[in-house]
Amino acid sequence: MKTLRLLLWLRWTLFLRANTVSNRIAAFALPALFALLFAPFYLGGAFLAYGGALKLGGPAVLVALGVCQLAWLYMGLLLGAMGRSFDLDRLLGYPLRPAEVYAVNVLAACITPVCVMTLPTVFALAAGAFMRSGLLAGVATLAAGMLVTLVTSALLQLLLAVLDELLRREWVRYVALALFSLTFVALQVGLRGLSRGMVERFTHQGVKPEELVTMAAGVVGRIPTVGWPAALATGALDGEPVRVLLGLAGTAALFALLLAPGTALMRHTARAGESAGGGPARRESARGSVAFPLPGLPRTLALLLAREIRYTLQSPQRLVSLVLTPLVVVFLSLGRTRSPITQPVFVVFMLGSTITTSAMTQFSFDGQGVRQFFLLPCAPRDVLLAKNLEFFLRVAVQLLLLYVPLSLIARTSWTSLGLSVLIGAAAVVFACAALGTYVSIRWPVRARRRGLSNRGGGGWGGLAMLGGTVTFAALVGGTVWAARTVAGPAYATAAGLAAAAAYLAVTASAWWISLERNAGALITYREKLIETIARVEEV
Amino acid sequence: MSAYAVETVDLTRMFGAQTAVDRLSLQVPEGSFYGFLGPNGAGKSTTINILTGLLAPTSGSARVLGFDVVSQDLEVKRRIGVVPDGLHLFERLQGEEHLRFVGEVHGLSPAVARKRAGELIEAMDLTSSARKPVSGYSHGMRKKLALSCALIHEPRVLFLDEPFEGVDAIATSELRELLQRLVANRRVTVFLTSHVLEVVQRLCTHVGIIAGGKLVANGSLDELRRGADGQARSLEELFLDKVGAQRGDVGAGLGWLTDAQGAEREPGA
Repeated sequence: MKTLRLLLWLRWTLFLRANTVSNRIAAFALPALFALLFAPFYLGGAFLAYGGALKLGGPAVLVALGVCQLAWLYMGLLLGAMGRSFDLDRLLGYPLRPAEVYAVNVLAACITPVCVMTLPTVFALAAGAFMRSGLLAGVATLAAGMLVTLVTSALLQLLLAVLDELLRREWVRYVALALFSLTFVALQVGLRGLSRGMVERFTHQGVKPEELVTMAAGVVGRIPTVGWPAALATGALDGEPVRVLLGLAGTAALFALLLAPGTALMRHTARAGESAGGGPARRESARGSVAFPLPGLPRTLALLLAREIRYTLQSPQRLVSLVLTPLVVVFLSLGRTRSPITQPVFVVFMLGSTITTSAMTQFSFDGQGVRQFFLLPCAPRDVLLAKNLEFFLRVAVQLLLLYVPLSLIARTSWTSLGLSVLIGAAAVVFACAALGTYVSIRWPVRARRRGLSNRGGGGWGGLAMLGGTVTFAALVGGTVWAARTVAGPAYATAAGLAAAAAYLAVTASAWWISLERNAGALITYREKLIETIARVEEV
Repeated sequence: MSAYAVETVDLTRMFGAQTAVDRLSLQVPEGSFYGFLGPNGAGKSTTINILTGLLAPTSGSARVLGFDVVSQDLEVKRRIGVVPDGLHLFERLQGEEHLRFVGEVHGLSPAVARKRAGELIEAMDLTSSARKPVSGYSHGMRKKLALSCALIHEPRVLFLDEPFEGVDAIATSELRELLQRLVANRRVTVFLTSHVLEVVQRLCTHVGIIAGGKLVANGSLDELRRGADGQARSLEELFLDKVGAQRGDVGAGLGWLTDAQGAEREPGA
């Protein structure tokens, strides 16, 4: 227990020390914002769970807990599949048992936002059971909910450790991430269609919702990770103490089953060490300059730009994030040409957030090499110009990946806007580059070797930037739309183009002017930048 | 043009309330092999970081080859080579690619950069890893590559912060010889920090000792070793005399560890 307490303290202290006060507040603000956004779902779910437990008892409890477990595993795998929640490499030197580290991971996972969001449902179930069958049933249901939470956390940690073990090579890991995300999107789309079909069929056959819940409970009850801990509640609700005892015994066995391979995997993973670096030698022509032959660019700038491009091509994390958002948007749009997904607002939001993140993390991937920018005889403005040019190139690739397929899928929504959209997007990108460069200097964030959880820009600056970009994009889009509407059908295209071009001229000029100012900021804040970006990966 | 390769006047650097470098005034003659010594946390790396443009001074001034390190930083950087304390390499570039990049940024033609990169890689025994990403290099290999990067453009001043740390004995010996030849034949100034006093004693012509951010000794090695009484001392004796006296008895209070009978264990421990 002492070690467990120490590890929990370590985890908490590292979290506190890793951020400034404002960043810590921001770290809480973002999940809070998400919690608020998703409130209708989980509070609505809790309301339904209360009604179900009150009216139907055991079957409703089973189904609700099953849905909670599914949601948690789904989100947990989607968000954390490629990251270890507790890096063991640094702990290997201490006399710690992997089982204790595993236990800390399991406990820590219980306070993640997804888990917290399932708590209202658990409490609602307990309240419903209490109203239906008395205090004992209520307490048993609450305990069953907590047990399901712990079992799910243990299961999730095991699955994450397995994935982490399977995907040890950096390139494989990020390619797998892309495939993994797309598979989940496909599953989501497929399940949506399937469930709609099932509901229609059952309604047609005259099956009542209560009967559906009972049928579903029959299936969920057979899944040990839900059925066994939930037996505590269903046994109490149905007045079967033997089932309660069997459920408790089964849950204990389940913990033991999950703990053994989880611990073994953690031990193995820790001993195997990091495998992200290195890689085979690449064949490359040793002839000519390191820089690309780009006419018109001064030599130092061409060299810096070449380095930026090479670096991006060598960073799987960056490449995957480059192609993933367009792919997901396009994927979701396939076969759903009339859904809101293909509407500009959705696309603007998705693309805006990706581009903003990208703009805010221009130094994040440089690692210890960031010191070179200040040791080499190159002007800070050139360093930033090279970074911005590379950023524009990446955005152009993203826009192409998104725009071309979407124009083919949803002709009506996109081709009519045509050039105006592209010019408007370019205007947003210039604004984004100017502001994002400043944010990336002022509030730098180091990219992690493992996982994607730290890709975004840091602190309040990052949050403000994200909101600002989306608002500005909406403003540009709104102005273009207004110009087209006011001008009337005959001049709509010309008016839209003129409005977008005006924005482009303003933001491009602002970006050009900002280069000098941002170069000043680069010198002013270089120490913090180096300290943050060049820092060695910590526990 | 100043006769000093490095000159600082009242150089001060503060981190919050803590003074890392405190009114440091030193001169390093051109063509000298200067050893900058001090205990951990004395301010050596902070000083080097200021001189090479990684840190800004809080007050005071510093000039390298007559150029102000703040207002003429590009002029300084064109003429110096640096191996800083923390590593500074682009992990995702290949070793050879990295060297050529640094060479070309310093104004070498692609052909010259390629030729020198090849020669340095061979000299540093990095040939088999030249086309591998730096992320796969060991600590010693990174140090060698960092040194190569510092040398490729023929700098006039070399700032080396613990250059031999983690480098194998053979490479260390070769590097020492190389550095001595650079100083002797090309009048390159080497500004070096090291905790290995034996290395400093063997290589350096001039020495500065810093403790608590203040310069406590500065001058030619021979002068300093002779001292005021005219008796010759080893560098270690000099160092302990200037720095060691400030620290108390290291073993005091560690009786439980160092005494013959040890200490009683806590119940249940």
